[in-house]
Amino acid sequence: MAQAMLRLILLLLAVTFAGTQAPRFGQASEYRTPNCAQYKLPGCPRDFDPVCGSDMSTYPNECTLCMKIREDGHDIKIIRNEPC
Amino acid sequence: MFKMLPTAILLALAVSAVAKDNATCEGPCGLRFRQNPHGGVRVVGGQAAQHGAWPWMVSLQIFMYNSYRYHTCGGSLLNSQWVLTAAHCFNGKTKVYDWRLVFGAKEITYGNNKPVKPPLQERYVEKIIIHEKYSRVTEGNDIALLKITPPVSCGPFIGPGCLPHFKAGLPRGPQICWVAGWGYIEEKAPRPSPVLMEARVDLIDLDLCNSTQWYNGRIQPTNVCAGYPEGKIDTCQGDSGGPLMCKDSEESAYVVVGITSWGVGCARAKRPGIYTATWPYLNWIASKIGSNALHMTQPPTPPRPATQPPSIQLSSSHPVSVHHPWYFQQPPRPPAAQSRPSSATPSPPPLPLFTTKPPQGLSFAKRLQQLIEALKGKTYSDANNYYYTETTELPELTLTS
Repeated sequence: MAQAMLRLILLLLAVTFAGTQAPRFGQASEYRTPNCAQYKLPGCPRDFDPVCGSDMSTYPNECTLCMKIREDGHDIKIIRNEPC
Repeated sequence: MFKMLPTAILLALAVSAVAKDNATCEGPCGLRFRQNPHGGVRVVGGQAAQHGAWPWMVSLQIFMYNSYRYHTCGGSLLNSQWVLTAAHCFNGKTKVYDWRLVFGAKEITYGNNKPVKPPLQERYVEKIIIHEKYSRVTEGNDIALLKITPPVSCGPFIGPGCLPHFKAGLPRGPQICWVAGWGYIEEKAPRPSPVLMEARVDLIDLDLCNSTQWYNGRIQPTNVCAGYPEGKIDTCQGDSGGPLMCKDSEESAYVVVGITSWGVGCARAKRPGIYTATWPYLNWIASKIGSNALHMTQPPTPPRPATQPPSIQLSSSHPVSVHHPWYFQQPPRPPAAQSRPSSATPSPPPLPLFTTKPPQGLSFAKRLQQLIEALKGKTYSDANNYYYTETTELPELTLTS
């Protein structure tokens, strides 16, 4: 019985580790302030260059994160240049 | 047996000609290999494309130090050496070795670290040419060219797209238009789409698009607006650089009239997708890839209505083309179609090329030509029309460029 439990725990651990991905751009350093001044358009370019916001949302590019800041007024930093 | 010999030579020559065209991508542009049945109206609000539906569709991928590749933008193949895309895809990423190009794909793996499997092909970028007047602030002149190395080989799932003629002007009016890409399938999607998506869109008048309730004057004259007033169907993040493709009649080829650029959100009402029109940049493209290479991407136009034979005659001599658009690969025509009366050729002043030739009785060379055309799938106009339109376009090209 105890052996079965151990196996289950090991399996769960394996699944958890398989789900986590290696970071795309190496180790995350400090939070970065998005450079929102460069986006003057009402909209955003449609490239996919994802950033992970400090709200733990993935934004498809820096501009879309800046739009979110503009729409909601919340300050969001960039945790890293990859999906969350 | 004696009669068989010319046929065998003819076939061998024709097959080698097609093979050469395939490898060098010098065959006709805009040739599709497969497509969804008509009526598919649903990128955001789209449907999965058939493999080979848009053979010029390219995935631009960022290459990371750990050899993982990540889809970033789309692009359109122009020939074995050039891809047309958007300038903003290279913001802060202008090093050629940071990029990989994937051709002939339907499905792509975001974060792939393995070599692609045939029929897909992966290539390096030799040169990134961003428009000299590209503006990051206004997204003006959002157009770029990539030189492919080594050159890509065209084949069943890879082929060149078409660009507009110099005389075409900015795209407008009722046309059948499509967008395609691996971008988000909704505004808040977690990842780009693994499968190439496609969607029908309408061209939207630039004045309406620039009106106060819409984009309020932010759209430039070199842009195209496409989508729907109510939104719902649109390109989205990950689709940039990909093509907006239109055709003005059932018989003509799809032409890349726009490059996916930007928008407010995705698929929102009164906020359609904004595309860089390709037409205003034809001279710029020619200056980078060469006038001849550009000319190869400008499709032969179908005969004008005034010069067309009566429709009854047309449909009886082309029974297949009524139900199947020209871009389906068709077997060589039956002998009946070849012996069409010479009155079916266009009436305007024929070129010296044809006046010096006997009007009837097909020579060996001409039969060979027709077979090559048929094998290449160029069945939308007969050989005469093709050469007629091609040679008449030439002065136009030199005149305007």
